[in-house]
Parts: sequence; structure tokens; C-alpha cells
Amino acid sequence: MMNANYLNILAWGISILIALYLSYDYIKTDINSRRKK
Amino acid sequence: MKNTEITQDERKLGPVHVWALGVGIVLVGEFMGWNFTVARGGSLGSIIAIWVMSIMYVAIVMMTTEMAAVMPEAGGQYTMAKFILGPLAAFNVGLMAVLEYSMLEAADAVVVGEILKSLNPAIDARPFIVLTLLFLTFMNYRGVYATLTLNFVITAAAFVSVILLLFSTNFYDPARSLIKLKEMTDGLPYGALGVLAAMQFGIWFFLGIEGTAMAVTECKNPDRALPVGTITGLLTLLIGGTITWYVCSGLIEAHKLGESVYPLYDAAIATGKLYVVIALFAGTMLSCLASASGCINDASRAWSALSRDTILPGVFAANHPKFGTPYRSILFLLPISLAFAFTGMLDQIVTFSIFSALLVYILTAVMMFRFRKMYPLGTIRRGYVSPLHPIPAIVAIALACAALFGMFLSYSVNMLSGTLFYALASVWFVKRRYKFVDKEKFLENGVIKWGFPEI
Repeated sequence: MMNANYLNILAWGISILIALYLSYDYIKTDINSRRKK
Repeated sequence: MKNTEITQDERKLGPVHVWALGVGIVLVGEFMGWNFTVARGGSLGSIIAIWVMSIMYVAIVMMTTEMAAVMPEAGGQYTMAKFILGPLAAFNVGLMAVLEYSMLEAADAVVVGEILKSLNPAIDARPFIVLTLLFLTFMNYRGVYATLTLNFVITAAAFVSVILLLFSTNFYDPARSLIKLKEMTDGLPYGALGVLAAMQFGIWFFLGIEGTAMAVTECKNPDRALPVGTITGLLTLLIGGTITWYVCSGLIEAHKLGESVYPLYDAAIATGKLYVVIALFAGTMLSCLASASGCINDASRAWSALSRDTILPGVFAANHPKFGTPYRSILFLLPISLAFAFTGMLDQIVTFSIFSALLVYILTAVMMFRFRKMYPLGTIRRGYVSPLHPIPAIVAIALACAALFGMFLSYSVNMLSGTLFYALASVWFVKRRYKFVDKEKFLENGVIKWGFPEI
């Protein structure tokens, strides 16, 4: 049971990291494209 | 397929590739979703619904192939609607296709979460649903696509796992066979009405096969590759579907099969053989992941194509400067899939996907009538001529309407909400977007290729 809880937390953790990366890259890309304009 | 731009060198697809592309998109339907036919129409109703729906697909594939083979642009049904029916229909067909793919993607993620939960009940399906969708979005955002070759391998592996399951049941030896059709099936408990209600889920075995039309610009000889590849793909799915029905119905009791999230995996567990369980676990996971990744790819490209054609606001058309992917469309569609997947209601998600697909099929038949009127036989060069017109169009409309009626019996609220959604979207389009559509540019490629139509 303990292992399953760790797995759940790990899955949430990786999901949050991916979400943070996608948000960061999106904002960075959009700011760059606006600057070029 | 790294980019949407296709060079001459890449026009190499033959019938075998088209076959693999079609089967690869659809094969996931054997691993989940189809078994709700059993809950609606009973075991016998399920197999009748599956075979009847395959007739509708033969008609759809014939019509789609004729129209797709002459289209001046890639894009399948959306492009056909654009040139044959105009902006409003193109907007609706594009929207329906995007939602059909996004819902399939959500359904795939639900199955991944649930199958992991089956390993240990303490595992929560939700973080894994979120992780699946975010990870595949990340892959698509970065442009690391599962290439066609990888999809071939996954498709082949998934198909082999189904055949392995079939042979592990010793079906060929009545004395040792694990298949107990007489004890496990429940015949036709709800009669003809049950068959009608089962038809919508019978579609799940074939949903997406018409997407092979999107490969038309990549085919070396589309006149031959497209019809041969698609029809053999359809036959393969029908045979695979019948084997799946036979094995699952013979191993799992009908009332349990009708509610299962992963019927083939449950059938593998019922054999009690570890190597079969592992093979079907891998087969289900792989086919779901490959399908969901393909769906993100297709849905985001369709969304950005709508934007490029000025049907949607221009912001979605932008490609990522580094990865070359339609990154805004990819991220925009993610919360929609996430929201549906998070409900965990697989049959409802599947229903919305099928509802959208059925509306596209009806519009495809309408397009066929109009296409033959606009450009009668002999006026333009056709690669493939759909035989017996208008019979396929009439059959497709009749069967799609029958499936919609069957859907209405069990999911009337979902259907009404879906209809309302498309109606409101259409009103928004007519009132707010139509004025931005550059009609001349919109139809330019069609007029250059075929000249002005007769009507």
C-alpha cells in the first residue's frame, strides 16, 4: 500500500514538472515572438 | 512525419502503408470501448451491431476515397467540406473531427489509469490520467512524434497479443477449450431495440479508418493505394473485431463484459495464464498510448488548419519557432481532454466521440451527393469512382441515423448537449467569425484545379 502511495505522489510530481515546463516554454516563446514584432 | 509539408521524396506510401495507418489508428478500439455493445444489446446484439456498422464503413470509405483522391489539399473530411459545402460546414466538420480525436485521447488516458489501478487497488487512476495526457502533450509539443515505423511496430505487437490470447484459449480443441460461449453469453435480451442501442458502440471497432484519406498527398499512387489499403484495413478490423468478440464473450460473463474498462485484459486474466496477462497488459497500454499520441497530433493539426483558413482566430495557426509544432493548438486542446478524462466516465466520453463521428459521416454522404452534382462523372478527372452511387450515400445516412437513434435511447442528455454545443458554435461562427473568412482565397485552390462547378 505504501508503494502505491509513493507512485501516486510521483505521478503527480512528474505531471506538475511537465506542466511547469510547458507553461514556461509557452510564455517564453510568446514573449520572444512579440519582441520580434 | 515530422512536418505537414510533404516533399516529393516522401510520397512513398503504398497500399500496405495505408493499411497499417488505418489499422494502427483504429486498433485501440479492440482493447476498450466496443464491449459496451454487450451491455446495450446482449452478446448476440453486439456481434450483429458490429457487422452492420461495418457495412456503413464500407460505404463511407468508398465515398471518402472518391472525394479525397481529387482534393487539392490534404486534410480528409475537413478539406472536402471546405470545397464542397463551404465555410460553415467546414467549421463544423473541423470542430467535430477535433472533438472526436480529443475524446478518443481522453478515453485512452482513462484506460491507462484504470489498467494501472488493476495492478494495485491503492493506485489512484487520476494522477496517471493526468501524467499520460501531459507526457504525450509534452512529446507532441517538442515534436518527438511516434514515427510511422514505430506505430507499425506497436500495431503489429498489439495485434499479435490478440492472436496470442486467442490461441492461449485452446479454442481449436473442444476438450481443452477455455471458451464457453454457451455459459457466458446472454443472446439477445433486448431484441431489435437492443441491437439499435448497441450500434453506436459497434462503431468503436472502426472509428477513424476513414482517416486514411488524410494520407492521400503522401501516396505514390493514391488511385490504387487508398481504396485497396483502406478496404483491406476494414476487413482486417472486421476479422480482428470478430476474434475479439469471440474470445471476450467466451471468457467473461456478459454482464461483466458489458461494463469492463479493458475487456481484452480482463479476458487475459480469465485465462489464468501469466504470459497472456502480461502480453495483453502491454498490448492495451501500448495501443492506448500510441492512439492518444496520434490523436493529439491529428487534433492539434486540424485545429491549426482551421485557424490558417481564417475559420478560427489566427493565433492558433502559429508554429513553434524551434520545434515547428502547432504549439498553441496543442496546449489549447489539452484542458478539454483533461476535463473529460478526469470524469472517468468512459462510456460517456466514448459516446461523445462517436456522436461527433456520426455527424461527420452524415455530412460526408451529403457532400457526396453535392460533389456528384457539382462535378458530374466525366467533367473532372477522378482517381477512383465510387460504384453504385447513390446507394452507398443512402446506406451511410440510414445506418448513421439508426445508430443516432440507438444512442438517443441510452444517452439522450449527452446527445442533446452535443447538438446544443454544435448549434451554439455554429451561431458563434455565423455571427462573429464569418466576416473574417476570405471566401475567394478559401476556395481558390479548388477553382484552380477543377474550374467553377456546374451549380
